[in-house]
Amino acid sequence: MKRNDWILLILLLCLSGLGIVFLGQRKKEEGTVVRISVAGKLYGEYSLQENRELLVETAQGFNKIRIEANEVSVFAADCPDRYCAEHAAISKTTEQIVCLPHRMVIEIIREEQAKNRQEASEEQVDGISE
Amino acid sequence: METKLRRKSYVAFLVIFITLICACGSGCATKKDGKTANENEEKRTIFAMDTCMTLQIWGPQAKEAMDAAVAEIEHLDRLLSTGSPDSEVSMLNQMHEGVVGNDTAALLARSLALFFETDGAFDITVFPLMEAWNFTGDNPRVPSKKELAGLTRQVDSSLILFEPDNKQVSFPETVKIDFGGIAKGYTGKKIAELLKDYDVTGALLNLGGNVQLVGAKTDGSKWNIAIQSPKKDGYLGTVFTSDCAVVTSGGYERYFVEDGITYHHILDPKTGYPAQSGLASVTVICADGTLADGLSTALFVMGEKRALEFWRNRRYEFDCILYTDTGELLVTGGLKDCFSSELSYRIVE
Amino acid sequence: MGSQNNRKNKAGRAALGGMLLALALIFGYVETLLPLSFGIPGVKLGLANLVILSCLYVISVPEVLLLLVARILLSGFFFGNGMMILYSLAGGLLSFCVMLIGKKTNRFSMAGVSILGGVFHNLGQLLLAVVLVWDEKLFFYFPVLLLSGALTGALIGLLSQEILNRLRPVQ
Repeated sequence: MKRNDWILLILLLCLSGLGIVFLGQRKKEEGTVVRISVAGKLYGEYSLQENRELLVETAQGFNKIRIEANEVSVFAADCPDRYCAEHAAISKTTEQIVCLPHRMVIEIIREEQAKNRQEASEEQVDGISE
Repeated sequence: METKLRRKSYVAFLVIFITLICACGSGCATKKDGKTANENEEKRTIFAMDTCMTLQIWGPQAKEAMDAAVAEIEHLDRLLSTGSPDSEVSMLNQMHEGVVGNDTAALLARSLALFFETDGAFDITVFPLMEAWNFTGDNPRVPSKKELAGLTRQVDSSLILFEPDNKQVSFPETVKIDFGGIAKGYTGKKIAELLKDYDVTGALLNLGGNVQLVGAKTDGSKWNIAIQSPKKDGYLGTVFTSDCAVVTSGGYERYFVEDGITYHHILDPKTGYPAQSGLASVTVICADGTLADGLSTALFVMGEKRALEFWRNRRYEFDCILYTDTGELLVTGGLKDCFSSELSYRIVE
Repeated sequence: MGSQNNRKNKAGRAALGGMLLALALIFGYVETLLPLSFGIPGVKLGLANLVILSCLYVISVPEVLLLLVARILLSGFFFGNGMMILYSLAGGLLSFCVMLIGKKTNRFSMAGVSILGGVFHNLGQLLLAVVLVWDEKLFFYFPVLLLSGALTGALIGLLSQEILNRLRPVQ
C-alpha cells in the first residue's frame, strides 16, 4: 500500500470512528410504542408492553413481527437477505430494524410521539376457530 | 526491499482487519439465539389427524404436560384414522363387528346419541359417501345420482348395534364409519382433562381450527378467539371466553369446483350431496369439546331454522354463531356479553 | 500486457469475458456461503469486487462495465429479487465510477482505489435505501458502513494486488 492509500484509510477510519462515537452519544431511552412504516408511510403503531404477533404484508413480501417482553423483533420474513430476521430484538428509542428489500422500518418511539395507536384489545386474538 | 515493505504493510493491515472483525462480531452483531420467553411456557405444532395442530401450554410442568398431550393426540390418531388400515376404526370397517377400546366406545356412544338427538343430521356412517366424493383423497369428484342414491340408503347410524356395557359393536357389511366429524373435538376434550393432572394454569389448543381452551391466560384474563370468515377476508367476530371449546364448521374449509359449481365437504346424510342449508358457517361454543365438534357439523346440515330450534331446547348446554349465505350473522343469547364484531349481528333468544 | 494481444482476437476476448463473469458470479456466491453476518445490511466482504477491481487493471473500461452489470443482473436473478438488483446497481455503478476516477488520478495503488470503491458502494446503497424506505434515520448507519467499506475495500484491494502480481508472469 502506498502512502496515499494509508492516508485515505486512516482518514476514513477516523471519520467513521468519530461518527460512531458521536452517534453513540445519542440518548438511549426506553420507548413504549413500536412504529412500523413501509415505503415511508406509517403502517401502524403498537404498544411495546403488550405481547403480540403481527403480520406486515408489503408489496414485496411479508415480515412477521413479534412484540414480547418489551422487545420487538422480526421472527420470519420472505425477503432474500433476512437481515431483518437476524437482527437482535430492539427496545430503545435509538434502535431500529430495517428490511431494505421490503422497504420496511421498525422503530421504537416515545408515547408522546405516537400518532396513530392501534387499540390492542380490538385486534389481539389468541386463537382462530375455523 | 520494496516487496518486503509491501509485505509488512500487508501483515499490519491484516492484523488490524481481523481485530476489528472480531470486535464487530462480538459487539454489534448480537444475534438472537432462539430463546424461550418463559420456562413455564410450551408451544408446539404437530401434524396429526390430517391437519396442523398448535398447542400452547402454560404451567410449572408445561413440558411434561405437552409431551403427554402430544402422545395422547398421536394415540388417538392411530386409533381413529380411516387412512391407516390397522387403526381400530379401519379394522371395525373391515370386520363389521368386534369389541372396541374405551376411546372408540366413548366416541360411538356420543355419536349415536347425537345421531338421534339431531334427527340424523350428524351421522358417522356417511363415510361411504365421503369416499365416493373422494373428499379424503386428492382428487374429489362428483359421483353419479344413481351412485349417491344407492349409498345414501346405507347411511344410517341406527343400523349400528352397540352395547356400551361390554363395548360390543356390530353393523351390516355395507356400513362404514368415520369419526372425522367428532374426533378432533373429542381429542381436545381429552387433552383438557389430561392437562388438569399437570397443574396447568392455561392452555390454548388449536386442533386444526377446533379451539379448546383450558384455564386462563398468564395475566389471568379470558381468551379472545376469532371466528374465521367464510370468505377468508378477516374475522366474523371474536368470542371472549375460557374453559370451553370453540369449533367452527363451514363449507369453505374443504371444497372443490366442477363445472362452475362449488362442492364442499359437509355432506347431508339424507341426500348424499353437500348440505345446502343456507348457512355458510356455524360456530359452536360449548364446555364439552366433543359436543361442540359434532354439533357444529349437525347445525350446519340442519340450517338456520332447525339449528335455532335445537338451540332453544338445549340453550344451557351450548351457544352458537350462525353466518348465513346471505351474510346475516346470528348469535345466540348466551354469547351476548362475550361476542364482539365489526359486522352487524343479531342476538337470538 | 495480455489485453493488447486479446484485442486482436475477438473470440479470445469473449472467452475471457465469459470466464471472468463466471468467476465474479462464483465469488459472489461463495460470499453468501461464508458465515460472516454482521446483522447490518450492506456490511459484507464484497468478494465479487475482487474480480471487477482486478479487471479494471487488465481489460478495457467498457468491458469491465459490461461485466459488472451482467454480474449484478445474473446474480440478482439467481439469488435475489428485483429490489436486490436495484440496490446492487446503485452500489456497483457508483463504486465503479469512483474507482475509475481514483485510478485515473494515479495517486492511489489498488488498495486505495478499492477502499474508495468499498466506501462508495455502501454509500450508493445507503442513498438508494434512504430514497426507497424514506427514512432519513437510516443515515445513522453511515459511520458503520464507512468503516466496513474502507476495511473490506482495503482487504479486497490488497488481495487483487497479490492476484495480479502472481498472474502477470503467466500472461
